Amino acid sequence: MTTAVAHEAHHDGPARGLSRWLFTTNHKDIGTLYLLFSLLMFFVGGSMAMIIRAELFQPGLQFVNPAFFNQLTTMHALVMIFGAVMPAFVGLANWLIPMMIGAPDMALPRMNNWSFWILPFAFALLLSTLFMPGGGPAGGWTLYPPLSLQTGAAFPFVIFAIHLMGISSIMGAINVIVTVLNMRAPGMTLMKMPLFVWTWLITAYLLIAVMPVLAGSVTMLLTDKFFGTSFFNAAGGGDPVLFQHIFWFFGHPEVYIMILPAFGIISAIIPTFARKPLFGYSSMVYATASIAFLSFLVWAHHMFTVGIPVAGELFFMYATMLIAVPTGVKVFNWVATMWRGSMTFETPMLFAIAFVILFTIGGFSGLMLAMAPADFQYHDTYFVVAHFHYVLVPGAVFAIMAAVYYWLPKWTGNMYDEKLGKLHFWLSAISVNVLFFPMHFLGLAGMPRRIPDYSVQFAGFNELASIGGFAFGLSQLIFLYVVIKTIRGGAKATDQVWEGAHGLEWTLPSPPPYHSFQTAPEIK
Amino acid sequence: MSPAPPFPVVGEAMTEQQMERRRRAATRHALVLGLVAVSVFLGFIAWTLVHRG
Repeated sequence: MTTAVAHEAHHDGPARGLSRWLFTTNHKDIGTLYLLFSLLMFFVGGSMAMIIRAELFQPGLQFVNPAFFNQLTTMHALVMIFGAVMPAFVGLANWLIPMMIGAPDMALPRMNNWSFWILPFAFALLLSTLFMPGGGPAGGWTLYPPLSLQTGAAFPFVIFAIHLMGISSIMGAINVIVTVLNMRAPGMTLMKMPLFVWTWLITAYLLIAVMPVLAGSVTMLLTDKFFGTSFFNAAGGGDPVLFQHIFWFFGHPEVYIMILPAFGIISAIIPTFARKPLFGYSSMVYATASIAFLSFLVWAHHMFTVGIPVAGELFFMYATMLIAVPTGVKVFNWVATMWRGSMTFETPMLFAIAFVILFTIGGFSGLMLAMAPADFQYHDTYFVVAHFHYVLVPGAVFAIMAAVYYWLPKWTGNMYDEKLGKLHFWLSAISVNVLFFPMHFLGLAGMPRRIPDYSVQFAGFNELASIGGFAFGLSQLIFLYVVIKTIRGGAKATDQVWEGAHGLEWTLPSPPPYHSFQTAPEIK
Repeated sequence: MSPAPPFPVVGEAMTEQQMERRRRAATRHALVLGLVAVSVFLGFIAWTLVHRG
């Protein structure tokens, strides 16, 4: 039998030097590029957060002027969402999905290269706006008109950067779907796929459904500003609230785009270190699909205070609360997996357990925000800031860190330094709570979001939050050190790495060969 | 608990024909998904144009 393997054997291996990284079509190389880019953006966005917390350390204006402060909050969000969290998940998808489903690579490797290499240009463009006349965008990452239309020379560059990010995300999502639907090894039925692959498949559909909506909404902003249209301009017969509807029709599923792959990661790690199979696999799949479906029906909970009809508020309130049901199923299943397991607490497991607890806190404050009458008090306060940082930092970011510690030995062939990993975990877990928990109280007391100065009554909790922020920021340098140290060397990892690890990726050597499965494994 | 991986690697390499079939299916899926994305983009702008007033 003529096999494709023999045919392609002559070019099996990475190119040398810079061209390896520029022209690579290899899923592991592209995964590495995504992860490194994400790490860089994490520190860029984190530096902005450090300046924000330094400014808010005490009342009065200390370091930056109010206009620049607003640019920092806007840019911090854009960089962290589109530059750090999303590319990290795409990097993990690139590295893991082919290995998990028994494929040699992603289905569309050249498009994969493009998906990544668009990103550095998009972010160079976005960050360059900080140096343009009038500065960068300052109206918040939501880009609400008419405020966002007051942005100076930077405006078209920001819109173009967002278009590029969107194109990159859509191409990445198409690649994931096509890979999962076409490249699975014989016997790897959909309901045998690891949860991480399932959550990414559903996330990819979400991305294709909503990223064009974001692209459409910012295109309309662009034509309103430069081509005389009045989509959102009340003076010309348009409606600024319509922008909010369209933006949040993208924005709420976007929230789940940033958390569903995290659910997949946690569903891989907890069974390994509890040494038990995942409790309720199929209910996890259906819960993920339900969350994705419901995410399209709840967008107006971000807009309770704009004056939508009471019937609408009730619908969006109950629809939002409904999401707690499949999310509760997930949390229950993770706890049930740990129940009576032979648990050990290596760094990935510590991050996973912290995820379950702290993400749930963010989920509960989300339920509080979902109540329309209560939201009238919470809206646009630090309570909202506390809520979404709980789901995104000890939620999404902790899951990404858990994933890096869990799979880094497989990727590099070297074990990471467990002592430093645990030090990184404990410092992060404590400081993240010192940073974000006081923000709940600030919000309840009425401190608004996106302000560079505040009333003296908020001084104590702000000081505490800033101390937590600096500690959290410094702790991440340990993470950077551990990652670099592991890439450079260390104790050799076995193929299975973790005693309780199951799945196709653990059958490959550590580090895995350049093309994962040249001969498709057969799944019994 | 057994430390052995649950999936034995015992499969067969694909033939050129099988690979070609898979390549065509992948291209078809990618085109359909791309078309969906473009339609959503244009559809939302059209919808907003109609509903803005």
